[in-house]
Amino acid sequence: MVFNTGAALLDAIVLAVVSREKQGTYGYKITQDVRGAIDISESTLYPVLRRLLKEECLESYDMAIDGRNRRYYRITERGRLQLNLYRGEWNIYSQKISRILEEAD
Amino acid sequence: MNRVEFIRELEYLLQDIPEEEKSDALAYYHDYLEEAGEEHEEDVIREFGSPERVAAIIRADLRGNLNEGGEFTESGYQDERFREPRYQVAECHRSSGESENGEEWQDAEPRWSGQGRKPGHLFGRNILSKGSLGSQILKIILILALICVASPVFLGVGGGLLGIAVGLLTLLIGAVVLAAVLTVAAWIGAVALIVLGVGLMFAYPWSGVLILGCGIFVMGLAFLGVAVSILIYGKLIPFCICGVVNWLNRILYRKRRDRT
Repeated sequence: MVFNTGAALLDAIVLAVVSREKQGTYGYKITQDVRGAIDISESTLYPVLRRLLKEECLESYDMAIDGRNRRYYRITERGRLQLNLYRGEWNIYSQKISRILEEAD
Repeated sequence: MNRVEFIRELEYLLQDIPEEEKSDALAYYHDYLEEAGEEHEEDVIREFGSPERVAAIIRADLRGNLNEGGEFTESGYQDERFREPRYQVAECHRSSGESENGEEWQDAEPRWSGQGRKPGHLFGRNILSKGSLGSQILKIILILALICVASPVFLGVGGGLLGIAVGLLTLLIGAVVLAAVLTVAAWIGAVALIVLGVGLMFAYPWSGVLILGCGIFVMGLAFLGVAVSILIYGKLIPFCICGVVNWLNRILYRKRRDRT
């Protein structure tokens, strides 16, 4: 991808990906889903998830699957508010960029 | 390198970070590798880079968040929060020399938040000073924890020592008081015996002489008592007081020095 992804946008994408799963989702799957939109390396998301947990935008819980514990992440109310804020900002931002790029034609 | 080796290496590299952070991080990467499955295991580990690189990312993140509390400026919050750890990550990234995937967005951080400034050494210096601040805070926390943990021992030993000191002090005061009392008693006894001896000499000359002799002997003891008392009250007590004052001074001074 030629465009850079800022940290806020990455947060927004992660929150969006996690919010799609009502039951919560886990690290590997989040990474693969985010990679559907932007290029990130496998090891990128741990600090992001940790920070979002710390900011209480996400919550985690452990669930036993096939006899082993898997850590699940779920969006919180606060995370939802944050995601809405990001979504609003993104709409404004992307519209402005789109308009400028199209006007340049 | 397989999954088990990777996790073992990572655990070794993270042994000095807080236990909770360590177990969280290890659990995350362990789970991640398990979810990836054996067929992807090797690819994922290759993309992680080295355990050293993953450990550096975790550490950089910890350091960034450690300082989060104190760094709210008007526009600073988001910048501070996102810029530094990520910049560090980007650095590690580049130096490890692989991964075409992650570099794009990670590399973007300083460029985004730098806003026209050169990201290089300005942020590098920030990280440095923040790191030392973090380690200072850590040091203070460690010292406090040490005091907390060791305080029962100090209380026990200190209490015992204090008891011994109080006991010795009481003994000393007792001896000092006893010397004075004995001296005064000897004087009274000596005077009484001499007066009695002189009085008796007229009625019973031999007994009178004996008692007078005893009186003079006791008077000698009384003089000895005076000498000892002068020694104690004139020399020993001032010496003790000086000693105690010096000792307290030294303790207070050392404490002050420790604090600074």
